[in-house]
Amino acid sequence: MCVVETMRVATVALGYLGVMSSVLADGDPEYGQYLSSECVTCHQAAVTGTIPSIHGMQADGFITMMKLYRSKQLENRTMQTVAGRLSDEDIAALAAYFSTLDPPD
Amino acid sequence: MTKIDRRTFTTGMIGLGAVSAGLSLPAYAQGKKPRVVVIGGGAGGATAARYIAKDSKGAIDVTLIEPTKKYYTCFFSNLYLGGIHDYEYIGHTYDGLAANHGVNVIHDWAVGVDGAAKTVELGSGVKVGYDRLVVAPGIDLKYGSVNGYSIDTQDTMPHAWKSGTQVALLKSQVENMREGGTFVMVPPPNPFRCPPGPYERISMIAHILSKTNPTAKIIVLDPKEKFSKQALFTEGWQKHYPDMIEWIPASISGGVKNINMDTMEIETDIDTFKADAASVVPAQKAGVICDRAGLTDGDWCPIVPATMQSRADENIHVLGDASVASAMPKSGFSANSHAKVAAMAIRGALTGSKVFDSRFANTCWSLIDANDGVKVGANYKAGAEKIEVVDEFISKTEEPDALRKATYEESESWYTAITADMFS
Ligand SMILES: Cc1cc2nc3c(=O)[nH]c(=O)nc-3n(C[C@H](O)[C@H](O)[C@H](O)COP(=O)(O)OP(=O)(O)OC[C@H]3O[C@@H](n4cnc5c(N)ncnc54)[C@H](O)[C@@H]3O)c2cc1C
Repeated sequence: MCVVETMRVATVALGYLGVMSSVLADGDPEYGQYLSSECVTCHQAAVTGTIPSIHGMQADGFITMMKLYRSKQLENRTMQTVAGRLSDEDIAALAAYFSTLDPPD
Repeated sequence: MTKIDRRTFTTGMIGLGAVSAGLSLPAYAQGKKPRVVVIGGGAGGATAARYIAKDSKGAIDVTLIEPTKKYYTCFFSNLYLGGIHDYEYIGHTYDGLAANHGVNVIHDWAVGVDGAAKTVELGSGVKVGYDRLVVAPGIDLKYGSVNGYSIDTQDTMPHAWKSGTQVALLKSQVENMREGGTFVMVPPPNPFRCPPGPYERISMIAHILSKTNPTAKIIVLDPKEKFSKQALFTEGWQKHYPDMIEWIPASISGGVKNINMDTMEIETDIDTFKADAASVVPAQKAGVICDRAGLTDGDWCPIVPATMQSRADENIHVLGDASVASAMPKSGFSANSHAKVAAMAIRGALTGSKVFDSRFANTCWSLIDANDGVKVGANYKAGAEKIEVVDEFISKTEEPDALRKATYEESESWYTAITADMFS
């Protein structure tokens, strides 16, 4: 079931994005989904006040932002701490996962 | 109540006989639909129920046992006390868990756990069978830790450390204080739920009194010598409420010796303080069901960090305030984070889904005055013995107003998001 599950997610994601398949090859969306459970404590599908939604965010933009938080070039202590422990692989997996979701209305 | 379907109920009952046949095989390998029972629908339990049901896409039967129909969050209860939100803002129902994720919600108390038979006994006498059990009952209070305080008199000086009616009562007592009266706060000793909570409560009561009863005083009789975010709170109290708050540590007061609930007198070595209103928060321990289930060592439940499994029973996961999560503070954010780790481990064990390295996180925001928010946070990893800090941060003193306002606004957004993450 685990293999089928992974394939299903990957197939859906690929069908959805087409051009982004190179990103998906790097980032494992199933791993991204697990890592994302930390993000969604604050970033829900709908925008909640001043915290932006990252659902449906383009993978490239996501990766750039997270690396800027990781290197502390972007302010926000919470985000700097969150990004601080993410490896490039973690960030790619998160980017792959969030880019498969529907953006907020 | 009771929507235990016939099948769950009967398999629970015949479970005893069937155990010997399939003891070592996970439920999915036996072709049965595995069952998870969750005790307690708070920050830990509601999140666990939601994530297990949502991510297993119906492959796991999830039953949530929670006595109350509406959960009032302790988080943001101080903002309700401060008049920033109304009571209903902090109340949440379980409708979404049932309707959106098929969680079977039973409004009853769990009164016993039989780890050998893998059943939970409810107040109604019904037994519910499980393959994995999640125990997340939060805290109970050790009333005897403060002389003179008891469960029967708690409404006179509400602890309000479990949310709901006690918080509403405390609010009305503060509002009805005589002009220039004294509010006394007695924070709990370590370890306790929400380390900055008592000091945010003091801030929010000062916030409301500074508007409605500006000559009132707040006395804090702390059993501790220091407290969470102390430099930030102390700075903020001087800035926003000069001369209103007096914090007295046990080294000066000698600690609270006795409380006379009839006369509202709180006795210490240095003085007897007469309160017009008060909040007394006794010492704490894991919810009593943990003791009954044999999960505690002392007051709390030891766990295996990587999976949040009980050290006493590998089929049981203990989440949130009830667990010994070592480096992590007892917070709603922490409980929600434990739940996600446990949900992944449980799905892995019951359905063979992928399991990744466990990661935990926490951020606790506190409000000192309207638009003056501060935060402390960290991320963590599972060590062999303990949950360990990876990296941490805390707001600084003398931050610009704009940053404090942004921090407060962030907390509002977090509240909306985490309650959706628990209940939607
Ligand atoms: C004043 C205050 C302010 C706070 N502010 C914050 C904050 O800003 N941020 C933050 O992250 N945390 C905050 N917290 C802490 C937070 O509320 C707790 O850490 C969190 O609720 C713990 O989650 P839990 O699931 O362990 O317990 P709870 O959320 O208390 O949930 C336990 C649930 O179990 C149920 N239960 C108990 N026994 C049984 C039983 N036998 N059978 C069935 N059900 C049972 C209870 O009814 C309850 O609904 C605050 C706490 C307080 C008191």
